[in-house]
Amino acid sequence: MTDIPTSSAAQAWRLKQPYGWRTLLVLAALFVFAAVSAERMQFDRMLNQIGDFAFASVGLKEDSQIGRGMGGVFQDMFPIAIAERRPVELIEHFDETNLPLFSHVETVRVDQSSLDPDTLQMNTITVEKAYLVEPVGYLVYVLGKMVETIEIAAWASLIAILFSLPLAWLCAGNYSPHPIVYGAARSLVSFFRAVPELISALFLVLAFGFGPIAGILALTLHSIGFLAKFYAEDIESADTGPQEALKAAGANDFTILRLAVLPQVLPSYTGLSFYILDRNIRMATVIGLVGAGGIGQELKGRFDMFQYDRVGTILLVIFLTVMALDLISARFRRDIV
Amino acid sequence: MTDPLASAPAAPALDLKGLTKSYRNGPTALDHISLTVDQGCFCVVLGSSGSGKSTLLKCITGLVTPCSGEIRVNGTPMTRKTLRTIGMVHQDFGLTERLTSAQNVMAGAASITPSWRIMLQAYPLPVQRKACQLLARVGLTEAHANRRVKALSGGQKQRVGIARALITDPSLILADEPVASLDPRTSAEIMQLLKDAARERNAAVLCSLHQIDLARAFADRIIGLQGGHIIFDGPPEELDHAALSTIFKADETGPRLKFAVA
Ligand SMILES: Nc1ncnc2c1ncn2[C@@H]1O[C@H](COP(=O)(O)OP(=O)(O)OP(=O)(O)O)[C@@H](O)[C@H]1O
Ligand SMILES: [Mg+2]
Repeated sequence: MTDIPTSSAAQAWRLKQPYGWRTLLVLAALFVFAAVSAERMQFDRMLNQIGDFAFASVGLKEDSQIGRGMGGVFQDMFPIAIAERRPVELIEHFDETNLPLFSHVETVRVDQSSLDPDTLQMNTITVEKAYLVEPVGYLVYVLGKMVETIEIAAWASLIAILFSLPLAWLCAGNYSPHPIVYGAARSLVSFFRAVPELISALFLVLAFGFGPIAGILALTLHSIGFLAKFYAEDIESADTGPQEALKAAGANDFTILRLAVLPQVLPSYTGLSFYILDRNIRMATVIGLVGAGGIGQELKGRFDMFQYDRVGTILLVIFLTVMALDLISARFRRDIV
Repeated sequence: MTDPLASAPAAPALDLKGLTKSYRNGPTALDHISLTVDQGCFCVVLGSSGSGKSTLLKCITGLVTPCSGEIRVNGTPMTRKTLRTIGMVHQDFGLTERLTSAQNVMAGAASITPSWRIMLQAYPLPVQRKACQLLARVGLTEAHANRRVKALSGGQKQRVGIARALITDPSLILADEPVASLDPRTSAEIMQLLKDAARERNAAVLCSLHQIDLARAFADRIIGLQGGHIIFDGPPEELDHAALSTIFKADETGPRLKFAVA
């Protein structure tokens, strides 16, 4: 048996250990912080309620707060609203000979009590009330709102991409024309990114009124903040070889960006742009909650009117759309990028 | 010395006077380099790593700003305008991989093409024709011309690089270790191509190399660079053992190593 030859000096070596008393100290501090924060966040109440709900749902308890809160809503949500049924007299320019597709008029007799001004007696008369019934009317309406939502997101993404390209140039340290321009552009971009869509939408609704304009602008601003930053970082980290070669050939900055940088960063730009479109569609469903157009605005309205069957329809359409988009974008990414 | 008569037929292709460059937190890469390269001369700068070859060439094209000294190409001082009289070939090719060979060659004419044409990649027809001719000249086919550079071999890439350097009809071609990443056989082919293409146009070449055999085989004149100084200047025949050891072996006991030992 031969041993590995030993060196006396090497025997005295000490290797750095991955853990020590400092690790312990940090862990203890983290634990204390977590405990204090959990107290502030009312974790005890959350656990109590979840426990109650669990017991109630297996029959060990009469009822629970969660069950009461959610139960009613979920019961009202199903069946979801598909049809639309409106009194004819509320429809402007109603033309009985020219009904919308697949719709029909339904007449019901309703008893109405009214005061007879002569006899001063209440008497009941029966009137005929006509309703326009569209069997899939509400679903079609919600789908239309979903399309509007996607349009908001698409416009916001497109405008953001167009503005981010030149802005990325000003934000790229190696191409910005002047340090002051660079600083200003960077600050503007990080400001855009720092303001959440929901908050800017809140103010833009005040400025532009309810509807898609506020939504498009809110999404655009945030998207610019995101895209310009990452476009600029791609420019900064692009391979310098081709850039120097063109510079040595007397090309100006614009030319170098077009011929040596853009082809390099294009795949990454495409990926970023599709990501922002994907994200904007999801965000566009949300910003409607503050009145910035799209399906969210419809959701908020129905929610506030306690029409949970319609809320159910809206949620279903949102979920299905987002899932479909996920599938499409996954396939797209596989094929293109 | 005053300027020679303007009508003098042969202003040197390159004239350097007292060119000095020291990097901010680095060594003095070039120390008062004075050098004149005649028209049509194939001049090789031979030196070991860190001797300042790249710095010298980058100073001439303005990629590096020299601390002091004077650079004249064909008798005129260097500006962005005069850059088009220089073509440069790079060690790592400096090609945009996702553009086609032809697009890369035409990009060499960027300084004389309007911006909107650059934007749309719509080069004037004469430039397109010239790119085709040059690509054919460096031994590539139509298929290569329309292929992305990404899909070319190293030797083919450097052929594209040479074609790009030639598109503005330069009177001076700079080449920074154009064959450093190529095998010996391809290296010799590329050097031959560079030399022939330059001779056809009577263009002077300043080519940095670290391969002694290639320098011997192709150079009209060899400049030995070491630690930012010119320590040899003469035809290849004069490059004897003693000269080589000053260029290369001196480096082993050079300033840096001496430091470490002391
Ligand atoms: N950007 C830089 N900043 C600081 N020092 C630099 C820089 N570029 C080069 N140097 C130094 O200048 C000296 C000359 O470098 P240069 O690149 O010109 O050598 P070279 O002869 O081209 O070497 P190689 O054969 O490896 O390409 C080296 O000591 C190098 O460390
Ligand atoms: Mg070098």
